[in-house]
Amino acid sequence: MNLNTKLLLIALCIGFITVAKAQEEEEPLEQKSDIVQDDHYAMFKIGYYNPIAFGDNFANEALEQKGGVEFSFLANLFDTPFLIGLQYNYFHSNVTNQQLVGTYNDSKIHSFGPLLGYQLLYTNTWRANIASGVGITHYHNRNSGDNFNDTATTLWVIPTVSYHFNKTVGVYFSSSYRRDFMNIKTPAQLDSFFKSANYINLSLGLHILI
Amino acid sequence: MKVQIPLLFFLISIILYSCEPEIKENERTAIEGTVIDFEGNAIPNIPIKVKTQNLLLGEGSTDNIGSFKFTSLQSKFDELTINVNTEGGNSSFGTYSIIYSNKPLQQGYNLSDITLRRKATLLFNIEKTSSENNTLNWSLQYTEPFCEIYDDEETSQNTSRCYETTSLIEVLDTTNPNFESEIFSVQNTTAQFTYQLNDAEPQTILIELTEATNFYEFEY
Repeated sequence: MNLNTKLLLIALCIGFITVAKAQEEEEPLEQKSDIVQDDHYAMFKIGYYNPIAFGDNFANEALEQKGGVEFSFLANLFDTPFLIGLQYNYFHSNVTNQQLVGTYNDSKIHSFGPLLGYQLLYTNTWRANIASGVGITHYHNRNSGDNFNDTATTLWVIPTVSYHFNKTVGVYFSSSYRRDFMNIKTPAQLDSFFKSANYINLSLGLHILI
Repeated sequence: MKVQIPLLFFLISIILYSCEPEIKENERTAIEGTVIDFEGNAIPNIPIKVKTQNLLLGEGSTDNIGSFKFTSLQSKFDELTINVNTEGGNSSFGTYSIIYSNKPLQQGYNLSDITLRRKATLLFNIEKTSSENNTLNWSLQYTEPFCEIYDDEETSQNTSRCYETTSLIEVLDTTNPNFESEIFSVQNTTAQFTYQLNDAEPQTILIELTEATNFYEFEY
């Protein structure tokens, strides 16, 4: 089991335990906030974004992911638990094996796209939601003499748990799945290696509810 | 003013063109093959580099059985050079380059059995020892230690060179009496030294390049 697979399992465990813990604390009904009390709400997330690549693809075998940032916005739709919003994230990768990907040094990876979500849990202190979306991604690659881009269509599945200190400010943790469907043209023998990149992303940051 | 506006557009176009990336976006190519010597034996640790207009796009090296396989970026222009052992430093083998131009580039390049020949250095020295007013016309024919192939058929016929014979021709006299140089050639070939002293009959001497470093000294 390689390091990334172990990290992946640890991330999933942390996510599962956090959601379970939040649901346990939800038990007393009197603590549960009624959405009707707060019909319209919007959530902002800004935080540290740490992607972990896995699988037999260029991102896992030839790039080393560094941290980045994410920003997202979600608002509820028509007084329901359904959410709609936008997400942007950025992270950096260093090339560790140029023989597998070509001669360039590093990538700055920007993603942007819409999100649809559902509010799973809504108490005074704990909140949980799941969101998914499809966006566009640019891998801005830097060669010593020139820069070039690879592009992708990205799918996100983002479960988020947040703990609120008051009605407005809280912290969140998210362990999300991300797949970049790359637009890279290659000969047949490299097709599966460059077809997509898989990541589990661990995020932690500030959660603002208005 | 009317003249300046087109000039401005022209300058902006040149600047934009010069800033255009040379690497094709969203594309990779596979480079693979084997490198062998003149006797057919695999050569390990030979560097291979893929370039366009001096920009490095991909690089790899041969393994223990002389094979190489790596991924390269793709040139935005229809021009790509695959250099085998061209930056090998003190490598005992010659160099091999394949130049792809004037036609669309391929998605993959399978270069089977690239033959490298062993380099030979000839330390060649001509010295005037006589006090007479002699003139020496001389030439040295030897085999070049490199191969440069153009993939494009039209250019290939005129420009490709592969371990070809080349000549060095000079005249020595009292104003320019001596010659000393390192000549790079191919091992197990023969260099042909031809000289004519004043109006005498031309003479030919064959120099066998059997070693990595060979010496030849001629006095007149």
